Amino acid sequence: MTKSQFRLGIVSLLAPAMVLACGAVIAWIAQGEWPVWALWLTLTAFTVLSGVGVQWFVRGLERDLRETAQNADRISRGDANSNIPFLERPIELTALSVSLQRMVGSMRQRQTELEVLNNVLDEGLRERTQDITAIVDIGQRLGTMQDLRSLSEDILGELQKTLDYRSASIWLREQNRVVLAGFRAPGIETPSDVLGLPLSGQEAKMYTTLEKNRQAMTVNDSKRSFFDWLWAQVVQHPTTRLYENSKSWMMLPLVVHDQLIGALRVDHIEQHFFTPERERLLNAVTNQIALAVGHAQLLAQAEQVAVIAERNRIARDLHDAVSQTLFAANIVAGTVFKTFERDPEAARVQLEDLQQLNRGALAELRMLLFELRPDALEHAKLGELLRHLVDSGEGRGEMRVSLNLEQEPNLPGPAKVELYRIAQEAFNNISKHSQAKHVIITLRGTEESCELLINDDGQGFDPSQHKGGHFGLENMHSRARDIGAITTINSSTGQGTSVQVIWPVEEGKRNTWTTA
Amino acid sequence: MDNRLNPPTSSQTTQSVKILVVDDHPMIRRGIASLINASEGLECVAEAVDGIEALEVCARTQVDIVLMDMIMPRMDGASATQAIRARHPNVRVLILTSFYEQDQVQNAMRAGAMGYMLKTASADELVAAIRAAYAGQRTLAPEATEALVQATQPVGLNLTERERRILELLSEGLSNQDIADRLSITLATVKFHVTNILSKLDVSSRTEAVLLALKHRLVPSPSFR
Repeated sequence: MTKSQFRLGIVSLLAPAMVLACGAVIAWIAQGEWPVWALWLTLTAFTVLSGVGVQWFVRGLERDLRETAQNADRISRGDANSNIPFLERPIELTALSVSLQRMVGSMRQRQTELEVLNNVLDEGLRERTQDITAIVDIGQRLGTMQDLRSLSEDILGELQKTLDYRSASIWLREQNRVVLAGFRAPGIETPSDVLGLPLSGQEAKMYTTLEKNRQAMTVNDSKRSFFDWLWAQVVQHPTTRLYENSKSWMMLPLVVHDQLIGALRVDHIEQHFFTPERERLLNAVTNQIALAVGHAQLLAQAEQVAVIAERNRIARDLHDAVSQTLFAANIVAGTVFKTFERDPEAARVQLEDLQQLNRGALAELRMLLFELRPDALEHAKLGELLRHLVDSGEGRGEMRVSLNLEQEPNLPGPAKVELYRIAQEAFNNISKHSQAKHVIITLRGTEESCELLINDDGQGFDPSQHKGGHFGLENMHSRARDIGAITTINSSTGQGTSVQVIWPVEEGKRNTWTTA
Repeated sequence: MDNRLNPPTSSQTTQSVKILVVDDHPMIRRGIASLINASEGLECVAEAVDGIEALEVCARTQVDIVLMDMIMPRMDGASATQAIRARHPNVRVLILTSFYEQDQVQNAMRAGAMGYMLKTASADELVAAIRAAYAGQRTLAPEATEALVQATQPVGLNLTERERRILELLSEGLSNQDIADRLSITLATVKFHVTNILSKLDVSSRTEAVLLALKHRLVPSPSFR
C-alpha cells in the first residue's frame, strides 16, 4: 500500500466520521422537537450522502492523479508531446501539474535545440564526407602507376573539386634543389616549360623554413614589399611570376617516412581565404598527396634501377667480349712471326684474322662506351650502332655478317635504343644457339617509318616449343610494344630464323604480336 | 664443331704433345691452335666448343693436355675437368679463362686442374704453361694464386680489436643501441662498425655474422658464457 493510498483511506474514513459527528450535534440541538425516528432518518441520510460524496471526490482525485502519473511516466520516457491536465484541486496537485507543464516546455525547447545541433552536425558530416571523398580520390591515384608529373596534375585536379583555389603547386626536392613538379591554375594558361624548373631564391627560402619547422604555414594577408616587387621585375624568375598575384597562401609539408620530400602550396587572390575549415581539409589531403608522390618516386627509382641493372649486365658482357677478342688478337699477333717463317701464306691468313679481331674489339669497345653513356646511345645513328654489332659478330669469327643499310630512318631516341636492343638480343641468340654461317641485317627507313630485318641461315627452331621467356623472345616483343612497334619472328627447324621489326605499327594492329 | 685434326708429321709422331683446345669463342680456338702448331713440339689435335664436346674428343682421340675455358654453354670447365680426370687420369687439364673469382679458381683446382691461366697471358707464357703442365708442374696466374691464398685464410683475421668486441656483443643478442650504451659510443659509430664487420666477413646480415663468428670461434661460444 503506497503512502497516498493510505492517506486516501484515512480521508475516506474520517469524512463519514466527521459527518456523523455533525449529525449528532444537530440531533442534540433539535432534541425534543423532532420525533426520534425522524432524527435517526436524517442522521442516516447525512451519513450515506457524505459517504457517497467523499467516495466520488476520492475517485475523481484518483483519476486525475493516475492521468498525471501516466503523463509523468511518458515524459520520463522522453515524450514531450503529452498534455499535462491543469489540476485546480488540491493545491499540491496544482503545483505538481504546473511544474510538470514547465518541464514539458523546457523539453520542447531542448528538442528544438537538438534539431538545430543535428543540422549543424549534418552539415559537418557532409563537409567531412567531401573531404574524405577528396582524400579517397587522391588515394586511388596510388593504385594507378604513373609518372610523377601526370600524378601531380591529377592530384591538383582532384583537390580543385573540393577547394576553389586560384592556383596550387607541388614542389619536390630533387637531390640538392627544389623544383616545381606540378602547377595548376584553373582558367589561366600555364606556361608548360615552368615544370621541372628550380624555385627562385625567394621560394627556396620559404621551403627552407618549412624544412626546419615541418609545419604547415598559412599567410592570409600576403603583402609584397616594394623591394620584393622590384626584385621580381629585375630577376623575372618564371616560378615567382606564378605567385605574383597571390593575396593569401598556404604551404604544407609533404612528409614520407619522416622525410620531407616536398611541399604543397595553395594560393588565392582573396585575403583570408584559408579559414580553419580549409586549413583542416588541406592538412587532411596533404598526407595522401605525400604518400602518392612518395610511391611514384619509388616506382620511378625502381624503374631507373632496372634500366641501370640491364645496362650494367650488357656492359659486363661487352667487357668480357672485348677482353676475349683482345686475347685472341694478342695470341694471333704472338704467333704470326713464327708462322711466317714456316708458311707465309698461313701468316697472311693470320694477319687477316688479326685485322678482323681488332675491328671486332674496336666495335665492342664502342658499344661498351655507348652503354656507359646512355645519352650518347640516343644520339647515335641506328646504322652506326648496327655496324658495330656486325663488326663484333664478325670479330668472333664464326659467321659472316652483312649489313644492308638503305636509308637511315628518322627515329625518336627511345625507339632507336629499343630497336638496337632488339637487334642485340637477336644477335645474341644467333651467336649462342643458331650455328648460322651467314647473317643479313637490313634496315629500311623513311621519314616516319622503319623496318629492321635480321635473317640467319642457322638451324632455326620451332616457335611453338619456345613460348615465353626462351631466347628472350618475349623481351623482344615487349621492347617493340613499348615504342609502338611490332616484332615478327619467323622460324622453323632447319630453315633459319628471321626477325622483323616494323615501326610504327598501324592503329588496330597494336598489341597483337605473333610468333609465326 | 669442326675438329681440325692435323695429320702428324713423321718427326712429330714420337715427341709432340697432343693438345685439345676447349673454348666457345671461335677466334680464340683458332688463335690458340695456330699458336700451338707454330710452337716446337706442340700439336693441336682437336678443338671443342664446350665440356660435352671435349669429353667426346677425349674418348676417341689421344690427348695429353686439355686447354680448358671455364664459362661455356651446356657443360662448364670445372665439371668437364672433373669428368676428364675421372675417365682419363693421364690427361692433364690447364684452365685458360678470363675469370679469377675465388669460387672459379677453387672449383677448377678441386676438379683436378693442373694449372690456372688467365686470358691476359701472352703467347709465350701460354706455351710455357703448356710445356710445364706436360712436365707435371703447376702454373698458376698470380691472380689465381691470390684467390687461393684468400680462400685458405682464416675468417675474421682482418677484424680490429673494437670490431671483435662489437661482434662479441652482437652474438650476445644486443641491439645497436645496447652496444652503444655498453661501450659508451654513439649509435652512429656502432652502425659504422657493424657495417665494416659485415663487409669484412662478407655477409649480408647480423645473424649471418654471428653464425659465422660462432662457427669460426671468433667469439666465445655460448656454452662457456
